[in-house]
Amino acid sequence: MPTAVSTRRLAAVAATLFVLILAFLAGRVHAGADPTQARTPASSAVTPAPSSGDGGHGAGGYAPPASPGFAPDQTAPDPDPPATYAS
Amino acid sequence: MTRADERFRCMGCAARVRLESSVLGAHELERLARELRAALEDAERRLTRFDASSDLCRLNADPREVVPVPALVERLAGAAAWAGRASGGLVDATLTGEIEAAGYAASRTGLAPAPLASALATAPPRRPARPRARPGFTRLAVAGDGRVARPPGVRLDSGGLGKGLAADLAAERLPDGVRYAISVGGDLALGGGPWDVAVTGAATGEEVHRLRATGGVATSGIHERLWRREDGSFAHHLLDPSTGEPAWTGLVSATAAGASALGAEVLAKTALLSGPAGARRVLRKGGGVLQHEDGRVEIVERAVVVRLARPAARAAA
Repeated sequence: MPTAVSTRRLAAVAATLFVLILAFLAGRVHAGADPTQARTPASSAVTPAPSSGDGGHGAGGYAPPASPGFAPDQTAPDPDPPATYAS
Repeated sequence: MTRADERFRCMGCAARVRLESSVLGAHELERLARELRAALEDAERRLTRFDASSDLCRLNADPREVVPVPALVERLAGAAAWAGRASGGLVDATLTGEIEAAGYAASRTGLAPAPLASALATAPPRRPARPRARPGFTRLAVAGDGRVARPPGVRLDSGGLGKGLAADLAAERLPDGVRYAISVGGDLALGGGPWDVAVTGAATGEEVHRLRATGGVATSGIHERLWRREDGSFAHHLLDPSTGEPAWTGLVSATAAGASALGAEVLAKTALLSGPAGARRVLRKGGGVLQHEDGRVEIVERAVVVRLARPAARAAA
């Protein structure tokens, strides 16, 4: 029956596609990325050491990178946030 | 929205209580902030190892095997036992004799740290710290009945655990409807919603990253309590349990996000003592920041955890 063959073929193609997409997403998760966060880098980010005299975190001009995994705040950044440091 | 912001010195460090509420008035919030400050200052008096009359020193000096202790000291002993197990033996709060022998027998409040660059230039080869063969925390027993059991001579050092614990206990005093960030020496108890936390650079003292977290954030580092010994060598307060000597692992500081200030403190210290490769694994769950000896700042992102609901859980829901 042509209809039955066609249905089986459609099911096979759909199942293959499903497995391929699942394998891709599993690979991304295994690499440390969140597939729901498009364009999120999968590895650690390293900021190079500031070279002496270049003002590394220049006064007023430095905007610290935000942690991924959180939706950005709709409000203005906290001008005096709680801080963590070695003590 | 009402706010209260109280800054003061506590446990030899800067402390800050920041509260926000949309249900409590300004006076009530300020009263709560003062109450938390008093609680933290009380914890400082009870947990210091630099005052022989403190509750902690009395426990350490007690010749009995089983010692009745105030609730706060019991919590600290429980935290020390937990931290030792959770860190695989790296966070060992029973290295009190070793830290004194390393040159930290008296408070260093008000003393400037030795230059980090000089210390790094002369430090031994870098390597991850290792646990002791028979750590003291395994001989601590806390049953929750107001007594602590340990062999006489096993002494507790409150250190970073005391700061994190004090911040968490202060947070427990707050009523519902209060957003809070309670900091003791950079160990933060965070609640009532996520907070943006500035991570301070070890080299510059300026903000190098901003973490969004709830629960707790803490930083452990070698550069603030760093001194020169009489033999000319440098020492700091984060010890390799296997040697009892300061640990030089290639990291200057590690910042961790955790479920609580105490949890974050243990993660941060474990990360620093583990060295760069081990630290990435330690921080993977909650995220954090590593600061390397060469000044690099490395952001360790949280790993994504995919949880699938079990059929039984779904049915129960």
